[in-house]
Amino acid sequence: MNKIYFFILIVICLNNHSASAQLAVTLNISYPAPTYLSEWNNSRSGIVTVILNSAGQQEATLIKFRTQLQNSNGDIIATSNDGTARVYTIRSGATSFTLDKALQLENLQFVDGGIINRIQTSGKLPADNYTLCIELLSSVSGISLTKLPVCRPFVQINYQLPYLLSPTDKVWLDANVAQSLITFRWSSLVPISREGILYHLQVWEILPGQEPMQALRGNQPILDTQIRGTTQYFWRPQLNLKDDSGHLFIWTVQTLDLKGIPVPSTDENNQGRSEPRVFGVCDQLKQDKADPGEDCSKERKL
Amino acid sequence: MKKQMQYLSIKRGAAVLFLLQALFVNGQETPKFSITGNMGVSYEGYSVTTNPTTPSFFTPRKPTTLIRFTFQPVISFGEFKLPFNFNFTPLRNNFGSPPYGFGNLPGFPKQNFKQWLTNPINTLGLNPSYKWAQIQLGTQFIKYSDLSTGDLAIFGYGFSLKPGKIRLKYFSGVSQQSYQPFVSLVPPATFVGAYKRTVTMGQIGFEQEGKYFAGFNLVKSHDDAGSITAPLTGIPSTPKPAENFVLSFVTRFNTEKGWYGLTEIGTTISTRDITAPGPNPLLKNFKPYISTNLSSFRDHAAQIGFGKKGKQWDIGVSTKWLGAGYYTMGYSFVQNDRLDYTLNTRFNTWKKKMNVVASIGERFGNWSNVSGRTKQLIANTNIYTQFNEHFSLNANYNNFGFQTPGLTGIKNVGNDLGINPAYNWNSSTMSNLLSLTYNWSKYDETVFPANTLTSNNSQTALLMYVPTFFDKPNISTDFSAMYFKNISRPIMTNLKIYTFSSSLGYHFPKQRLKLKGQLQYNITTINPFTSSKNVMATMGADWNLSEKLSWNTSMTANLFKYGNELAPPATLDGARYMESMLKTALLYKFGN
Repeated sequence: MNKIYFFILIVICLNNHSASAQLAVTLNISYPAPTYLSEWNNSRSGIVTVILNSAGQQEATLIKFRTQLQNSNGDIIATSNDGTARVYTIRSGATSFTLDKALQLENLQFVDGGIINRIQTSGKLPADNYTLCIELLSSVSGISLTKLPVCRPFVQINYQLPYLLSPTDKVWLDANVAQSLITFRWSSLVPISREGILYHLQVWEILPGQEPMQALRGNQPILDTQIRGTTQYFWRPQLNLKDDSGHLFIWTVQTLDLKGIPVPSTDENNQGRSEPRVFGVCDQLKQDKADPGEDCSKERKL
Repeated sequence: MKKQMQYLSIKRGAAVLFLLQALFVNGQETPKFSITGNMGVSYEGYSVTTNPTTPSFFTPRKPTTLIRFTFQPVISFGEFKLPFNFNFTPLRNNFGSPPYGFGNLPGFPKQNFKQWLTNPINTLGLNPSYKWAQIQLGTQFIKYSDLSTGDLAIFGYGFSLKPGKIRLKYFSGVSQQSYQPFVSLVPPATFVGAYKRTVTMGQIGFEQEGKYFAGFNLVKSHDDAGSITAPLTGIPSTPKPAENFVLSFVTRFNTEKGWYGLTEIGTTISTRDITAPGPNPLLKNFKPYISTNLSSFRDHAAQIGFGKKGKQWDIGVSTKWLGAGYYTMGYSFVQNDRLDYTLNTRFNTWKKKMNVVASIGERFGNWSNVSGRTKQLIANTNIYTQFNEHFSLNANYNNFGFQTPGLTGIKNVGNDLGINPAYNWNSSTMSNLLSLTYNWSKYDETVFPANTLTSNNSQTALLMYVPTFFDKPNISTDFSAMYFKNISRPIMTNLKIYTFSSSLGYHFPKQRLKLKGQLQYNITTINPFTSSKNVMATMGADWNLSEKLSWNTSMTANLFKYGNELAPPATLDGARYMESMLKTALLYKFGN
């Protein structure tokens, strides 16, 4: 009798070994993870590779993903619904899936009200460390095809772009100083990127008759320089700024990673540019500062 | 018969005279037809030469040629008005919007007519109005409110109706024309392209001019997913076509007793990728305005401000909150996920000789993440005192501090103090003004946990003298000297700038001609390098060719010679560049 049990045990072990040899899953997630959950469909964000080794079997295998999301404490914050998971077809060899297929946001059931609220309001997970675990199920039997869930930790970073500190918005500078020097200061990217970043400082002159945003979008910048390692820049304009009408400028900082890719912002067309600020240069400043927009005695207004 | 004819003739003549008189009298009371405004053309030429020519060490900072045409007459006929707002150039120099400066790459397609019409640098607007009705055509800069839409140039059509207290507005147009992606091999560069963006907006409300306003704003912005034929998906990739809906309610009031206030609440629904699958289990559709999908999110914002204004004083408080996902394409750069508040005041004191302007405020970033909030303090004070008719003193102090929470982060602290005494005195032949400005500025940046501190300590001094000659009133001149020094730590960098400048102007009243010139000499030293030197000379003329036609011209030459900061290579030791700028503009004024 013991021999029979021993024989059955060996067969089960061999079967398990066979099953694990048939299916291998690798999960890669970029660092940091995509800012918005909707961007997990981009292959740059990572990839799931399923290798099916079914020697002698050419028929397709129908699979589903079972997904689990854990927070930094290891608590489960979301699980997928097996019954409504999408069915995919894999064949012998390697099949790749973008991460959104594994995450299946449309089929995830979150258990944390705070996280649900954050995704509803911003389309992002709160900044934290998470772990994504996936299992492959047979869509026919519902049995797990992977021996253990494949888990991969990832980091969610929600950057906030620099805030422009000086010159502040709608302030007039003295042309006698500004012709030689204008100091720009801004806050750093938050949180600080461990890979390092570049700040791209751009200043546009607002021509007579132009709106500030029109100048930013339409003109060639009068200053266009990249700064690394500090949040300050001394600009020596060497321009004649003592004209009769006064001069207006709009400036911003574009935050780039070391490859020159803009840090994600709400509007992708802005390419990581911070909220711009407007300032003026005038050689006849009123001293009483009764109205900052009217401080220049000349024609141009802030 | 003859008498009858004479009588009729006299009668007709009298009637014509009466009519003419009536027209004349009416014409005196309200002109029937008038044209005001202006039109003109301006040219800016720029060139730069460098020595040595290679390797490149200075990039041209202006387009070689910039021609702009202005046509802004206002035609009035009774209560009908037709203002034109045409301000355009045939050239393309977009850097802050597509094609982000890539338009200068060899082989990049020239802008087509639609791209030219909607190019942000061009304004082609017409706003005909009759009494309370206005039609808006072409390029318009329409501001509804702070939380809905305001700083975009949109090319389209719409109207603004103001019958009685009712306000009804609508506008629809293109804020961004589509650009196809472009990849250049020589030089290597990738322009990711941009989708065509359409913005439609409406406002309904009630208003009594100068007293109150209350109304709803709706703004829908939409990218045309079919406007790019082959979007890039690698690195970098084409931004996804997006969609955005804004609903806000705004109120404003001003009372006769000087109270004023503003409130606005808004909600936005944003879809980052309209091609993403749906539906979104966490966010329902908001039809008929917007359909959601898995890339959609919705958030809110609010602002409130009120205060009171007197003859000698003004005090107000304001606060603004934008949720982490609050986003409007009408202010696409605005930073969300923040809360800020400000207290402003202004008052006159000491027999109205002293004027004080002050504000203090705080700004919190990353507001939705309680443990990750950043904090920024901003405080400004300006005190101006006119002691007597000869002497005045202005003092100002600005402080700002920015700090991220936790043990890993950054802290920026800036302190600026400025003092500006000015003294003027007269003799029998001339008056003199002497003004000194001194500014001290300290800026520290600390990065945790390493506690690396970068410190900047700056001092600026400006001395200015302006004489006025009573017997030569047509001459104007001034002289100034500026000194700036900044010491940076821990990397010991000393930056010193000395600038000497003088301006001279002469007015020829008979010829209606004003000549002016400026000369500036500048020495800059950056430790441990040798000094850079810079001479800038400007000459110009403002000439009123007639009562209505003026011609303004100025030419600037800027010669900059570096010390040895660019070396190696040795060829850049003492490198120099010469910039030449020419500005000329003709302006014709309509009307009297």
